[in-house]
Amino acid sequence: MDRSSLGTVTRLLEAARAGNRTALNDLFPLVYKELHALAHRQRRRWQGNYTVNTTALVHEVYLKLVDQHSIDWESRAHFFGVAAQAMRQILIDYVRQQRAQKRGGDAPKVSLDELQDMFGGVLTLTDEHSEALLALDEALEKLGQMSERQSRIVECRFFGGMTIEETAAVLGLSTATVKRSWSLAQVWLYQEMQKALGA
Amino acid sequence: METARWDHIASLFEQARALGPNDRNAFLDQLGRDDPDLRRQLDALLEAHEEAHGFFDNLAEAVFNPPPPDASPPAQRMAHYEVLEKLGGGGMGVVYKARDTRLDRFVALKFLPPHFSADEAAKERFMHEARAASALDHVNICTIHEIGQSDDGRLFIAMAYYEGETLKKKIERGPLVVEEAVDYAAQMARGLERAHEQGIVHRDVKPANVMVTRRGGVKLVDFGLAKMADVQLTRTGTTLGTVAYMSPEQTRGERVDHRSDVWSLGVVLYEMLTGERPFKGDHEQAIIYSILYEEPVPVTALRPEVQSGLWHVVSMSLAKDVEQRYQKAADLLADLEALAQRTAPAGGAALHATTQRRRQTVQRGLRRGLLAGAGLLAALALLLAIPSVRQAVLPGSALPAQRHLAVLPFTGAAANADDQAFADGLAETLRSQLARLEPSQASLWVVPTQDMYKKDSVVATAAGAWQFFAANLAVAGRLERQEGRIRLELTLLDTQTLRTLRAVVVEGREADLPAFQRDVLDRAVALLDLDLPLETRRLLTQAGATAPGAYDFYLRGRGYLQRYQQAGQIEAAITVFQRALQEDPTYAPAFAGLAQAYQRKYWDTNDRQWVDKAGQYAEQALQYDDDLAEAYVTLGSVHRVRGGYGSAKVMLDEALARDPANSDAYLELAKTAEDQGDFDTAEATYQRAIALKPDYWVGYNDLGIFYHNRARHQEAIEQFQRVVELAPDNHLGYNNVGTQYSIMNRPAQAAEWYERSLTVQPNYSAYRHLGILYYREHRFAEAAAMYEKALTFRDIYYVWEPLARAYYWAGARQKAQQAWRRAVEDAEAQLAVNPRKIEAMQYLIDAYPHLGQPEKALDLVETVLALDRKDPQVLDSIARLYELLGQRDLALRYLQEALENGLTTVSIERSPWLEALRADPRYQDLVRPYLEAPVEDAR
Repeated sequence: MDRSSLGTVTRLLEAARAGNRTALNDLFPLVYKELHALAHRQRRRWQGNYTVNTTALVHEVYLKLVDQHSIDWESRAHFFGVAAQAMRQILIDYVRQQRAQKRGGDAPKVSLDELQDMFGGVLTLTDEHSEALLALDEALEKLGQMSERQSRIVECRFFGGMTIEETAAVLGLSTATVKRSWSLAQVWLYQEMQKALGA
Repeated sequence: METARWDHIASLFEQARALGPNDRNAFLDQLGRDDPDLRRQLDALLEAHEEAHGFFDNLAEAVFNPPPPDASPPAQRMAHYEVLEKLGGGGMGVVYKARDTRLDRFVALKFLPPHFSADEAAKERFMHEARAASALDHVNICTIHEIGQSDDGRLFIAMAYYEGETLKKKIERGPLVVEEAVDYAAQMARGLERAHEQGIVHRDVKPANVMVTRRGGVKLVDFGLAKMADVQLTRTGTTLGTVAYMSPEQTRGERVDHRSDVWSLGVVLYEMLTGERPFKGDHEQAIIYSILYEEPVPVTALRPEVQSGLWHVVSMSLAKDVEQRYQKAADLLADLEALAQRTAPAGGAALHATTQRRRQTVQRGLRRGLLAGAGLLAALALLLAIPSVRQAVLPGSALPAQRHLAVLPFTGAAANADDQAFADGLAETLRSQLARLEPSQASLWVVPTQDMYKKDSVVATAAGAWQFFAANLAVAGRLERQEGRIRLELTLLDTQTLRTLRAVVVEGREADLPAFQRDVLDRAVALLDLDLPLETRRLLTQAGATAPGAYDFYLRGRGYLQRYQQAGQIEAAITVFQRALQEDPTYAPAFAGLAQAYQRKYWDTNDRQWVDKAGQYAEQALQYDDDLAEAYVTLGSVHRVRGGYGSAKVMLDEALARDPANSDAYLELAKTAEDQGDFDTAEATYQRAIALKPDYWVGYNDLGIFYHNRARHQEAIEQFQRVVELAPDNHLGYNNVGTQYSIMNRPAQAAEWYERSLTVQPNYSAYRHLGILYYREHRFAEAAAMYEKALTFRDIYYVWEPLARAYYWAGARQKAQQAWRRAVEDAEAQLAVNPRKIEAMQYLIDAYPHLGQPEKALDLVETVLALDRKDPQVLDSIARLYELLGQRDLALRYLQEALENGLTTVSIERSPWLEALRADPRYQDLVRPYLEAPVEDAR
């Protein structure tokens, strides 16, 4: 009962490596929560550093949640993959809530302030960008049904802020594959989004 | 689309992209004949290719890297400036290129970060500093045209605009040509020399603050601005690059003078020559450690073509001891010029001149050294000749029967305060050694280190020792280290008259610190008229039984640890303890020190991983020395935090078996019993701690808090009044008395005590409790204001939650929601660390229903009642929850229980949530026996 999230995360990663796919699902809420907590702490720091470096955020969470000594390369990759998914979720939640609030809808689950904190207090998306993000999320869902690998690549590159090389390492692919898939995925997603946004 | 088809398209898309235009068309034509639909899809994909990439780049930029609102481009026109383009940005603000329309010239406009404009006083100071800097007129200093404020209140500096780039950019491309590097360094030195003449220190000399114009001219920017930004820069940790250029005295947060700039220039020169920084590390503390203690790799080793003479100049600039450094930028410049001329064909005369000058400098230095040495020798001779001088007993200096002692932090002689951590470590060691004598010396008690160091300050004077701890004696120490010798002057002071009672000098060699520390203990013991049995002495000084280097690092670690409340000190302690372990990998006291450092870190951050680390190191310490009481205390505390109360108790008993007067151990033990709900034991343990130190106010205070927690308010008041008697200038006692009155529904007395407390010192507790008082009087806006003040001291769930309630009833419903969310987030985080933390559960039970999550509150009710059925505050919260949920029967039942367990009626009678309940006749019946006779307010 008395386990730290450090131990929990490391254990889940070990389970995932041993082939237990649900372990990664269990990991998601922990990482999501920690990204939030991190954002909360960031709020208390001086707001002089404006750049939102998603990679740095994710990396900090990694250092915090994962016991570096007992983790191998593959598990590290799993973690970053999950973190990129969490970033996607956080961002989409944010957009939905921003929209809901503008329409005077229900009280959001997570306050806008908290999400604002995560982005250094500067995340004010224009409607245009919000719509684009929602369209991207939906298109990405469709892409995932055709090619899960490509949707993962997009998550890492776009939401996780990773480079081609980092993405390749995280997903266990060659950089050439990542480059090609990223290129195609962008084009396809763009077309889907144009359809959705034009409609 | 099906996966198989999509994979097919993907593969064809790749193939098509790999082909040239003609081949590609042929390829697509071929495909189109079999499957026209496929062709269309591919065409569309290929066509949208460029557009798509641009789209995603822009979207990512807009979402993840938006322009900060306060630093968004200023209006196109501002005063007589036309803003043109952004040139760059950094910690000190964003810079734009602009045209001065009045004088028709380009300028660089620097907008300062918002926090500069945030408070008026800071703004004033900044304007003052910047104006002083703007008076500098030198070819190597960037000209400041104007300092002003935009219409929206943002501060800006208008500077000369130069075509060129920063030195940082240049270095990023690799090391510079040697002559170029020397030239830039010389120009920087000229600029600095001028500024120093005017009494202005740059404080932030680094490549990013050096502009190099297209013609190779150097311009220093941002003079003196660092002074204004110091606090923020070091706090945020955003300056990983900047720390690297700081001088040792700067990293220690000491006063710096122009010689600090000389150091930074040395670092820049090193980096220009090698492309690397001399002091490196993965994180800020590691860099600071390197600056303080490590020698850089010689430039000549990294770049063999650099003359040894140039390396000599660099290393003279990088002398850690400010006295050993170039004393002026001009001296550095002279040597650089000499070197430049030596390599130039016709430089004989200049070389000669400079060499002569140099020789003089050396001689001056030698003379200074000799004089100092002579003084030291004379002093030594005197001491050796007349041994009685070593201990001066002043007339009439009989010591009081009860010796209540504070060992004040040791100070360094002004010129050579090079290592505060070392001095702190020595003092702390002495303090803990003397404290361990307490059981055998009934008349002695020593103020523990953790009480000496307050949140933002340290009790450093004899007067303070009296004021805060009612200590009647204080030991002050003045430490000097010179040429391998250490000299410590110990003075025993009467804290009330501030008279010196006795003094003694201890001397030793740095090479044998353990012997020195033993001598310090012996002398201090004699100073205090104490007995020190041989066996005890052996036990006390065993921490010194290690490799000499290890002990030195260990002492520093102890020193850093004492100032744990200042930024970076815990990290520094960890670094040096680990260094000690490098010297001696089985050195138990260093492991124990690490354990304490991580425990502190946990208290600071509430981050669970540090508890685990603390436990791990404490266990390692015990593995090498199972007699270390402090390691048992740490381990006990670790177990308590984890909820392992049984193990905690075992460990703390072990600690007390070895060190029967260890106040930390008793405190932890009492808290363990209290956390566990074993109140009789807790009470007895607190009382035992008091019996050990009957004149030490902390014991009474802790016991008072215990009574308070048990709702035994009259007893609590008795304890807290003892605190006020013993430490009349400490705000704590007043607050605690006030709190009891507040709970006993005597708001007038309570407010009076809090006000007295605030006159002693503004503090969290008084604000918080005034908040409670106002809330009870239904002055909700005033209550919220007090809680807001309290939050500035403590950003924590048990302030957020009552603030939420105050907001709510003041009508600020949205703010209330936010505050409740904060409370929940924080309390949940605390629970994640210790799933048995009852207080966190209590506030969660209060907060959840307001966030639409009553089910979570109900879950917690079960958990918390299983842990403790008798906490009146918890029962009160549960009652409120059920009332909110419309369960009047249950609400009444829990209120009854709360009252039975000591809840005062006032919190029910004044609660705005229970208005309807109070009208219920069943409540009237229930409360009747508990209603106190109305208290007459004297005024």
